[in-house]
Amino acid sequence: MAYAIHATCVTCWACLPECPNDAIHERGGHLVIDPVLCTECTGDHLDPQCASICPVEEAIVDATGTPLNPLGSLTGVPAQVRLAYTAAHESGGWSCLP
Amino acid sequence: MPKHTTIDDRTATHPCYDGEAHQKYARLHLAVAPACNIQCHYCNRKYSCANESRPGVVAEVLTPKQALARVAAVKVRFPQLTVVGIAGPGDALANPDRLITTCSLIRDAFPELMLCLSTNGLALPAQAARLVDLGVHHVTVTINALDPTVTARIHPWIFWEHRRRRGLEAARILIDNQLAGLDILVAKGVAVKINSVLIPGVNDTHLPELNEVISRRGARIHNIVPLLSDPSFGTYHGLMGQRGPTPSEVAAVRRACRGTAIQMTHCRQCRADAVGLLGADHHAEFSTRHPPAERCDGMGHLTVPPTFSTTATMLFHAAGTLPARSTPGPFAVAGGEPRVLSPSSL
Repeated sequence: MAYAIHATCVTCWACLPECPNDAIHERGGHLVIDPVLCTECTGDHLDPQCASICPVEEAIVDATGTPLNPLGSLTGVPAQVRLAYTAAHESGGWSCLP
Repeated sequence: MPKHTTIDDRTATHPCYDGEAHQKYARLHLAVAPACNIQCHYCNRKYSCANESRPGVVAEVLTPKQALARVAAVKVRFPQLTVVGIAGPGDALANPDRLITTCSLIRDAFPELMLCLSTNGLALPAQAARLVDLGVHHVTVTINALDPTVTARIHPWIFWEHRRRRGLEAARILIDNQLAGLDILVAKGVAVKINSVLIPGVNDTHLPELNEVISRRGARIHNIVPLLSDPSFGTYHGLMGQRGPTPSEVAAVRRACRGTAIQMTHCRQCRADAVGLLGADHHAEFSTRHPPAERCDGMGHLTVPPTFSTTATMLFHAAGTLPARSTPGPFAVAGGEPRVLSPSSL
């Protein structure tokens, strides 16, 4: 089993030095986890290190694609507020924000 | 370039530490530190933006070698450059390898420049001694509260000893490390500035007590900055309706602070890749990143909207007329002619 980095990653590199298996690499400007090297930190740490320092919700996902840090879990911003913000951001306007 | 002998001589030419120096001397923020080890409710970790003007935002992250090249280029453009600072877009000390390499390269190539950094303080006890060895004379530590119940309302988690810690546990560790780090820096003769973000209803009544403590421990300057919480920033505070303070509220808190640390009032809350004199940012001139497609006309001309960036917000601050909660986002501000930057000026 291995974790993966989703496109929401902002490439802050915080996870890279924390990985006990050196499984995280930069490829084409993006960070990727080598699924062969990733052990989900089993045997090394109580918590997976990449997911424990990652500041971006939904950026680290498990083998089923489930985020280890779901929306709202890191920033405290409720999921519906974050989704409304993201939609407003992508449409170029801010007026629909709560 | 003046010859520096004592830390006070150096401080006199540091635009962020001296109330007069900012009119004469320029500084450069090198964005070499994208990683962070804590979460702040006034921060959005999507740090990459060409146009917003606020702490924690940059156009691009530099490698240490690129940072050295940036210093050389900026020094030609701004001969009055005295300070090179590392202020993010994450935390300087959460990126130790990049920090050390960058500082070493600059110290060797430009020994006359002052090295400066800002940090949340979590990693200070472990790294303070090494900073002094690197020739860092000025350090800013952001401390927003000394009461864990207040800190926990501003910083929801920290990454410490291989675990994400939350709530009061996280707040206690953060505060302990901030104060221990402050003591080490002061003992080593570093000029320490404390930044505190003033958040109405959260830490406003607590800051005078904080001011007393950090003054007693030897901080030279206390920089109380107003919370910036425009919803467009996408921060917890911005999206949850936490308003920033009015200029009169900021002034009242500053007046209530009676410690010996000098109150800084000329802060412009710069970007983490700011270039030039305070309040007149030139970071876009030095950016190597290709202009964003949506604001590029296809001919290589980048239209920079007349944002609230270095102009409106700062003018509002200067004039004491900043709305308690400004609503328009960076691309929605009306009025003024857009500036067009040609490829040669990028």
